[in-house]
Amino acid sequence: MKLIKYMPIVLVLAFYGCIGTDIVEELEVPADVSISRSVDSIQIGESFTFQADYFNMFNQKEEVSLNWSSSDPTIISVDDSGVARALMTGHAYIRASFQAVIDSIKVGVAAMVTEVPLTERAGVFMGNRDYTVNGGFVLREMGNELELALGADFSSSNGPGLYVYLSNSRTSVSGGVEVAKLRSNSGAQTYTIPMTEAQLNSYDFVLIYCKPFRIPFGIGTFN
Amino acid sequence: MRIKIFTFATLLCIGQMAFAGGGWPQLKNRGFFKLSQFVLSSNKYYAPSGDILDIATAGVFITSFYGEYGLTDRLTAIAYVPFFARTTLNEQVSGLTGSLIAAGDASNSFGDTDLTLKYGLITNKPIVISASLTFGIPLGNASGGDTGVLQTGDGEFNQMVTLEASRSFAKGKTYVSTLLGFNNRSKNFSDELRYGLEVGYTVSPKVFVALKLNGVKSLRNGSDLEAPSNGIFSNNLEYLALTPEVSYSFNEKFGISGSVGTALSGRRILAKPAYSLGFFLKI
Repeated sequence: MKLIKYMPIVLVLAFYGCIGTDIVEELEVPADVSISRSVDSIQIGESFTFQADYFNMFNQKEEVSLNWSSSDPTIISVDDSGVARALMTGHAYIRASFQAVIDSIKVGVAAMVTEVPLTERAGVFMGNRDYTVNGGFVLREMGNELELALGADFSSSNGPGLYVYLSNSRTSVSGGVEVAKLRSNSGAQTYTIPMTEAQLNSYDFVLIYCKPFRIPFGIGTFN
Repeated sequence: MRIKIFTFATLLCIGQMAFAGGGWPQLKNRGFFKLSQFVLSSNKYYAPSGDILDIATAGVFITSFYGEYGLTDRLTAIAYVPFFARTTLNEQVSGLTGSLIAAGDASNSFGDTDLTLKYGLITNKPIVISASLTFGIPLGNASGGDTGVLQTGDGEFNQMVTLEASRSFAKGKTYVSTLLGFNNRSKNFSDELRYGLEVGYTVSPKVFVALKLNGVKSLRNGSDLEAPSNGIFSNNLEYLALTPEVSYSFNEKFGISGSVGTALSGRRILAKPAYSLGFFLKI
């Protein structure tokens, strides 16, 4: 009987655990350079500053010294800071590279250009694995910041620890930018992101993400 | 997983109810009491779609008291009291960079408590039937830990009506019990249909084994958008769990029992086995 008397205490002590550590194995991905601020055409005599991001093999944005070049410097010249100057009509490819990783875009030069540089991108959310996330959003440049505006039609399944992320993955926020904790699971709401953290075209997805448990509730894809 | 881990634990306890009584109410002044330890730790999760996902490891550790006492030969009072519930969330460290992704968290508190009255509708026939009314008292913490995402209760007052039917065979050495229940939940949580099948067998005078199949089906009449934010694992939770249990009696009054509950399928619950070990007393 003495044994029985003390066994519950032993039982309780034996079963209680501490907070452990999970090692999150993130997949290595090919390093990537992405031109995040660009334009389709430039007027002769005008300049435009291109910007690009480098993402390392851990899909994390990394500050590196990018090399800028033009496929035809007689049409468009570009300096080491990504500042391009249109010299004569035609088109050229503007390249940003780091080591062997390159991104390039085709840019035209004309005597008269009416195009306004793209300053906003819109998209819509969809739920992930039967979680409900709906509605539209707009990411726009506002001075030195990006503004992420979730529309009045936005709604999300409620959940603990929901955050808004910009990410280049549909399922992971590794290497992405944590924007903020989701303020409300429905209705219009606005978040700001310093452009030192992200450019308009740096990321492909907006995620509604359960940070404590690492579960994406919803995936916002740009149009 | 507010973690409906906790509700999962509570539901497994319903299995204990069936084991202890099934369709048979306690006789007057007779009772069954049990002190249990429940452990569930999982880094797998049944998503709402039914797919199994990797998640941060979540743990639930519940020390509980369960008791049945016969007020009359037909009316039995039942209480499930998780008087100490601990939920944990592991810290997350990048395997590539070694950097801390998210800090761990833990919460300790009292848990949601179930109080039940069971009435024997048919007690003197080969098949006995009883009806129960359970009140789920939200005494637990619905937003525990530094992150506020660890719960030892769902914060809602629910009421459940249950019908249990049982029949014994081979002079009482074997029995079969079935359970059908309706759980009315508040605060925009969906109501639930609960069902169960249990087979028990007396191996020897001291050893008893049982196999339980318990399920929960959401009626999906709540709102995922308006249910409290701990709803990631709690609203529209579904599962079908298989729980083998073994008990050993030291003497006529005291014994020990252990069980392992595994969800064969599920939605919004953890996808790892739950272990329970307890000491029981029969009077």
